[in-house]
Amino acid sequence: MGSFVNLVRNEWMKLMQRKSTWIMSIILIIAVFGIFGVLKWDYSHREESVGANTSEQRLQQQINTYEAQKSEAEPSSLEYKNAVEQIELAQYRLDEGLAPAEVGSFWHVMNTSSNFFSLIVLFVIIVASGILAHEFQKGTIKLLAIRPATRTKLLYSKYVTVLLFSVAIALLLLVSSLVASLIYFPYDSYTHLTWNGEAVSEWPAIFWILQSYLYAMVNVVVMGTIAFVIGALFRSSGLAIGITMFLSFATLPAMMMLRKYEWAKYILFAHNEFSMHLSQPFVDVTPLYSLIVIFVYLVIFHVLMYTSFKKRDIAV
Amino acid sequence: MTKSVVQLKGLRKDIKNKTIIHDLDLDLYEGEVFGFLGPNGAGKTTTIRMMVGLMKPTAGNVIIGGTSLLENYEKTISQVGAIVENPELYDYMSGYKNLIHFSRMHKGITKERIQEVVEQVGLTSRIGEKVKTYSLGMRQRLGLAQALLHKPKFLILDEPTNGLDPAGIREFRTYLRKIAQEEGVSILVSSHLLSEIELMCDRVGIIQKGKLIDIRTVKEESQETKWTFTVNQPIQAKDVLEQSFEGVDIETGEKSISISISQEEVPEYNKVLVEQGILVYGIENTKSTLEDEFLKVTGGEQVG
Ligand SMILES: Nc1ncnc2c1ncn2[C@@H]1O[C@H](COP(=O)(O)OP(=O)(O)OP(=O)(O)O)[C@@H](O)[C@H]1O
Ligand SMILES: [Mg+2]
Repeated sequence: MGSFVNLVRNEWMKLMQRKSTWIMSIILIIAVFGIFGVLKWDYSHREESVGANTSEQRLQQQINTYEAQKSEAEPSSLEYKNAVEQIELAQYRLDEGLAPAEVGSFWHVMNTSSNFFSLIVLFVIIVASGILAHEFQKGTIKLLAIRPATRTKLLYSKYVTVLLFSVAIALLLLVSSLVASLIYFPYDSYTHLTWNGEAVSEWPAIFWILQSYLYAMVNVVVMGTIAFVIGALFRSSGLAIGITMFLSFATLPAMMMLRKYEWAKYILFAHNEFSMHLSQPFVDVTPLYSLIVIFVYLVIFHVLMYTSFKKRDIAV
Repeated sequence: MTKSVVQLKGLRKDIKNKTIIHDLDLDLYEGEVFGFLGPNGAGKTTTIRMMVGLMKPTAGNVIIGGTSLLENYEKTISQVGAIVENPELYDYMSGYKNLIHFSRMHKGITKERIQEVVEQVGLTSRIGEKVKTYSLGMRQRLGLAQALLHKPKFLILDEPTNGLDPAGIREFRTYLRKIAQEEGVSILVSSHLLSEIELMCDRVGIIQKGKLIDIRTVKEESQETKWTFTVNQPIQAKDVLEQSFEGVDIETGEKSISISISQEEVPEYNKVLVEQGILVYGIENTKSTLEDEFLKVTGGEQVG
């Protein structure tokens, strides 16, 4: 076990010694501060039109809109369920006097920060593609593989490092978003509400943010794993980045067309965008169902990668 | 001889239905420097790859220090230090960080040990710099350092002097002999340069087309050179020389005689022949027997 920890330390050291890791981190920080700056500028110019009504009036408007949607939708459809949820939440806010997160307020902007996960997915794909493939491309795998550490340990020390990097870069996003929001936007208190189909519950605002981050992490792990597996199978980082990037762009429109079929819910790419469970899922399934499908696919990928990596010769 | 540290038993490798290594059997002994000699593409690197577990043998086994590489990988490989082809290191890290990296993969390597090895390979002044900035010879030295870190019982070096300067090569040779003698390390050095192998090895195995065709001890006399005198009357020349020099061993050819003598003796022999009226058309240094063997193998193209 101690030796496995040492392997992970090694991988982490190599990752931190690479310039590209730092460039990615800096790009993320610049993107957060830059885009939040643009948002601040934008909101400060829109203020009059938004501020015209009180929050109560806007909640009432919201209820009316969703009531209309509800009456048009089939009672079994996703749209219907969603409308019911939105009405319940808005009504609860009116009854309890809990203000919604105003556009341009601290917590509202914090919540939009989860949009930066598209950047995080990209960075994790880059790291996961290269972490093993680079060793083959540079030939360093030889000196690594002739040590008292089995290939299984080598492989998984790298995978664990990819997961650690994913968490670290997500934390970096959280911290830089907090700092940027505090600098740019007025702080106000906010209570988050959820609806479980029967009752509404209240949550501190930070849970709202953490939940959106946690949901977004699912896609990071899925894409990171795909990139890692392809990198290990083909031993080429370029190929792994290319294929995984293609998948991350192309599957969304493809699933839009395929979602109407019953079997669509068995496809990984109907589930990897797990954040959809926070609004409207692609296919009519529970979050747990999505997690199970994802898990099954990841296990298959790992078995493929593991068997190939164990038995193939290293001839670089 | 002493006990064998490494045993290759019927080692064979097929790649895409082509046999690259043919049932290789070899024993390497404690404290021995073994030269693995063969022309390009003979299968030296492939054999070494199997000895360090980078490639799985199609058949056969590698036993190191009594344990089998295939059955007990971690224990067996922990006794081995190696450079396989070029020592590719992490060039975006310092030499020192590279050594820290490899030291974490073994048990009980202290900072002092790292420092000691760095001094031994003569890299002390540059160890803090990024490997990117290193010359080929410096990389080779760092490669040697990573192979020595954990005090292996068995050291495998694939063309280790590639890129070293003459002083570096001499130092390297002395160092190898030293750790072989003092620490009982058994060393396998591969090369296609006969001159290099002859200078540092106790035994040499010649490999060609994946077959070990000859193993011989590097004897003192093999370093003695043979001189061929092209003369008009070989038989008479032989008589003349045998009268002047006691116990000299002379072979006669159709138009020449060959004598095993040192370079300093050549003028004296020539003088005797000329004084006795034998016409000497030319004097030529012919290769030693090991080199003859090797030349036969390589077709005389690769000796540098
Ligand atoms: N991965 C591979 N796939 C196919 N053939 C290979 C592979 N690796 C080596 N070979 C073949 O095996 C033979 C031996 O190659 P090897 O690299 O072991 O030679 P070598 O003795 O180390 O030569 P050199 O002196 O040039 O380093 C060559 O004919 C080579 O083409
Ligand atoms: Mg070679």
